[in-house]
Amino acid sequence: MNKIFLIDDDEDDHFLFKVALESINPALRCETAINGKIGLQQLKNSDVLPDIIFIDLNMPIMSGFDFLLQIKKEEMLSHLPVGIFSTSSLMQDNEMAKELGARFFITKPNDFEALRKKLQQILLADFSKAEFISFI
Amino acid sequence: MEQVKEFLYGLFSTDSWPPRWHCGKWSDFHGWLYIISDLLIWLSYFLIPVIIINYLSKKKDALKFNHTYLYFAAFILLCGTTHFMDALMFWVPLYRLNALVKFATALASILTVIHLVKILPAAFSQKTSIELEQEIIRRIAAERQLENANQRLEEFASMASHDLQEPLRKITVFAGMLKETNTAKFESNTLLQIDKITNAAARMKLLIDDILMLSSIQQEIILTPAHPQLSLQRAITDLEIKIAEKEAIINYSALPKISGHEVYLTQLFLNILSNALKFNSGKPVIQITGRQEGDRVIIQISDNGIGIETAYLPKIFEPFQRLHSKASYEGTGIGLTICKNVMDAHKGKITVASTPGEGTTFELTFLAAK
Repeated sequence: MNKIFLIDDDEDDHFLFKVALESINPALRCETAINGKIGLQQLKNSDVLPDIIFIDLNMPIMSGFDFLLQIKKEEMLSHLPVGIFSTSSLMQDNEMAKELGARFFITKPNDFEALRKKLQQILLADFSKAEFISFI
Repeated sequence: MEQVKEFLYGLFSTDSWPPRWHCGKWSDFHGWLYIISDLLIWLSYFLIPVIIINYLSKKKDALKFNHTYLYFAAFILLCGTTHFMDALMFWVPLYRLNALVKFATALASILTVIHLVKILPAAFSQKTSIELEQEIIRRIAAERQLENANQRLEEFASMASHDLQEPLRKITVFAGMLKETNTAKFESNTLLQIDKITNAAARMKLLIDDILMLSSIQQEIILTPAHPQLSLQRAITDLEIKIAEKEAIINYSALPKISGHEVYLTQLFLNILSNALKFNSGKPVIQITGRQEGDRVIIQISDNGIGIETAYLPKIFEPFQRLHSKASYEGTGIGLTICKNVMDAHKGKITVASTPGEGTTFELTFLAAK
């Protein structure tokens, strides 16, 4: 895994996410978008697709749930593993994400070390086999 | 009296008068106009009471003033009979019987008037069906508004909680990073202040989590046959660390199946058990038993904790009721309100009994699984 895509409207979270990735493996590349619609457009235009997509739930214009629905309709993109990276710790959101085809659900942790550990585990997972992973 | 006697004896006698055709000069047109009109009036005055009685017998329970309908039916029927008599007189001059029928009609009319005067005040105070319809429309609108308001409140609580979490998480994460990357540089006093920021944020997070949980408990949940024991075991697993820290002992017997919602049940046990662990100055011993009584299942959770003063018992299910300072026992004061709401959603109830210094028992009453 070497290319990661984060869709989140929160710039602080872009920063924390990137710092955590860098501390895990400096060779990882990370691209970001600030909502589902822009993210989808960026994916369609990109030459090299990411290996994994992290997406927030609450975003203006296109939410995480909407994105999960939309990406399923894109022939070129539907195979990409997408997971939720959100403040929500609600079981309902977790279930909903699973139903809509998400491969994992991470509740944004309250400390940096926990974020690092969760990301590390997600990046190690083999999504061709792995079951739904939930880190609430 | 003689006259009355004679009248009654000769009630059906026609001897004293000629038939009406021969009394005065009638043209055929005039006579038949009279007769046919009388017969038509009689026919309709006969059918109107039939319709009234039919209506009354079908709508009996939905109508007020049932007697009034009967008075009207009798009065109209008798009026009709007088018209029939009038037509009959053209051939059979039953003048005496006619007088008696008129008298009966007069009596019925007078009684109807008296009855109407009596019920008038009550009738005026009645709402007409149009007024009732308007009232119903008003109530439906009010109910809809209330539903909308409740939904908006839920959405608001959920949104507010989410949006409050965001900056809070940032405070915690960045304060944590600040401390981590500067541990060597900062004085111990500064590090302590950073800890205070982190602790305050953690307390706020607890509070928001609880409010979020409270607002997410819907009252219209789908209840299915559930094993409360599974939810209890899940709660115990979640509390493993605290149980080990406090060296607590939790005993439970087999619990009967109930009509419930597993996610909410786990939350319920989690809140009650964590209270039992928290409010105990020694080693907690918690006993959970269940029994079925008819279509109810009663689950009791007893502890040997510090107990609750009787004076505070009525208030403990209200939100934000804390009986202890933050320094002695942490908590948000929402836990038992969540329990109460979960039990309401289960169409059950929660009660509490406690002896200060000895312990507290919560009793949960559920509907048994069907």
